Amino acid sequence: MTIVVSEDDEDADYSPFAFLESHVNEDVLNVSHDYRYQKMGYYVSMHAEMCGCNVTPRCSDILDTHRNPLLMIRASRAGIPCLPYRLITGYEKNIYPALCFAVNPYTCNSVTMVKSESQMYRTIKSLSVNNRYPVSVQPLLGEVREAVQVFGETDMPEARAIARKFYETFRIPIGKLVLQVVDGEARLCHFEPALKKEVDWGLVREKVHAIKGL
Amino acid sequence: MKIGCFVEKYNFHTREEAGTLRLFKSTAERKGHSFDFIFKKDLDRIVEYDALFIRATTDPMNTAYVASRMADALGMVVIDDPHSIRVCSSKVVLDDLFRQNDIPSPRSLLFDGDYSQENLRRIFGHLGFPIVIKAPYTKFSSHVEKAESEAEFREIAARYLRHATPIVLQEYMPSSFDWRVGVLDNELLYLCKYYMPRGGWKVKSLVDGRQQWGRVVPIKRKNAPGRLADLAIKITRCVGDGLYGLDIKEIGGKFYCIEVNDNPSFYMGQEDAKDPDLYERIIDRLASGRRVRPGTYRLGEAF
Repeated sequence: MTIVVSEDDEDADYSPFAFLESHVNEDVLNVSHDYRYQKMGYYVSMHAEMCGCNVTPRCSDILDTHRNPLLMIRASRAGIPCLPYRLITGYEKNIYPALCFAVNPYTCNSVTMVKSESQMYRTIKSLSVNNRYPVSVQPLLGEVREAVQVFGETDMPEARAIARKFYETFRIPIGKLVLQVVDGEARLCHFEPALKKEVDWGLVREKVHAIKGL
Repeated sequence: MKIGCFVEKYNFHTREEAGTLRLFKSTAERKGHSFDFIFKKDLDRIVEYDALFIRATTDPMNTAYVASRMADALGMVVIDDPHSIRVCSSKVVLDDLFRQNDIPSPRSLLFDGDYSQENLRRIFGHLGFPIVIKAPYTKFSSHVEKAESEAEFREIAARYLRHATPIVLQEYMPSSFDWRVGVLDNELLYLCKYYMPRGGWKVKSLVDGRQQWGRVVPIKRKNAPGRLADLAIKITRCVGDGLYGLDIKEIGGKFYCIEVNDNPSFYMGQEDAKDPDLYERIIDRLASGRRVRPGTYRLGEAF
């Protein structure tokens, strides 16, 4: 039996708040549009793990997907086409055009496209919080696209294979993939929470019903 | 054996902490290992090492977690390992660890912002005043405050709930000192008493408008009270066989665990004063090739 904890009332056996006060023994499916650390989506998975349950997604997977270098290492190992990245902690010359991602505790939705030297200086200063944290830098080689994936499905044709593999690897039910399409082929660059309004909740319900065998 | 030590600039700000890092390095080199400091700009170089020792402040949101997870993914011995960081960094997780393993600790409740009269009556009835309010990410006594009244409770809780939900509420247990028990590999490593500063109630307290630390009194680990040592080992067996610093209160002859720190601080002349072999034992553990294993309380992990 799989218990569904969801912010979508129609599907939920428990709301996230109620779940944190409960003790369960079954498998848990945690459906949320935002799994970031210290947010309710993270705590639901953590509470399920504390109860000794198998939970989707697991806390370690949540944290890995939200730290760009860890995402890149694991995705590459899983065979997901990725772009190379470098970690830098201060401004460097001649590394643009690039996509930059914060690796700090404070910045969400940090994808920044950099096309000039002066922009690179400002971006690194900002994303590194004045050189306190590393910034992940990837070459800008193609068109940057975003694809919201729901249980490994997305409506962006170029991203379908990556979305499927991403879900197989990390088991994050909902989130936004940031990709570059290079010579017609999509490459994974980043992952971040989807906005609630960006999620196809009809598809979420369909998937949840399938998992529950309804 | 090539040992990397992940540090940040602030680890060298005090003479005592910088001295400790030098001692780790000289101990490792005396035993025939190389010991290099790795800063965040060198994260990509972690792959060059056999073991990683993390001294920078750990938290799943800090760079140190990325370093730990990278090293772990590469199959290296890493102290602090990512599992220990995830368990010990969140007071919400620790609260659950104590509950599920019958670890004596102050009475506590989670609070998610339900200010209904019924819920507040339940909280105040169970914990009484003053109530200790902790953000899940508290470090070095920061983000821990004491509420003497409902009004104070509401003000502090609202402030902490802006950044995290839920937060931890605990009964107040006054004491003049906390035991700090260092444990490595589920064996006692060192022992200290961390005293509260005069006029304060935490080891780092705001007294007369200034943040002040209490004094540290080292004690030989072989002189640790038996029940204190037993409790410390029982707790670390739940977390893992890495390096931990436990804060334990002694009240009326009974011991209560307050926190388990995955990244205990070392200051030359304090923690190492009575058991200076702690450097050698930590280096030996890093060089053993034996990875830190999670304890009985296991959160899922894959790489």
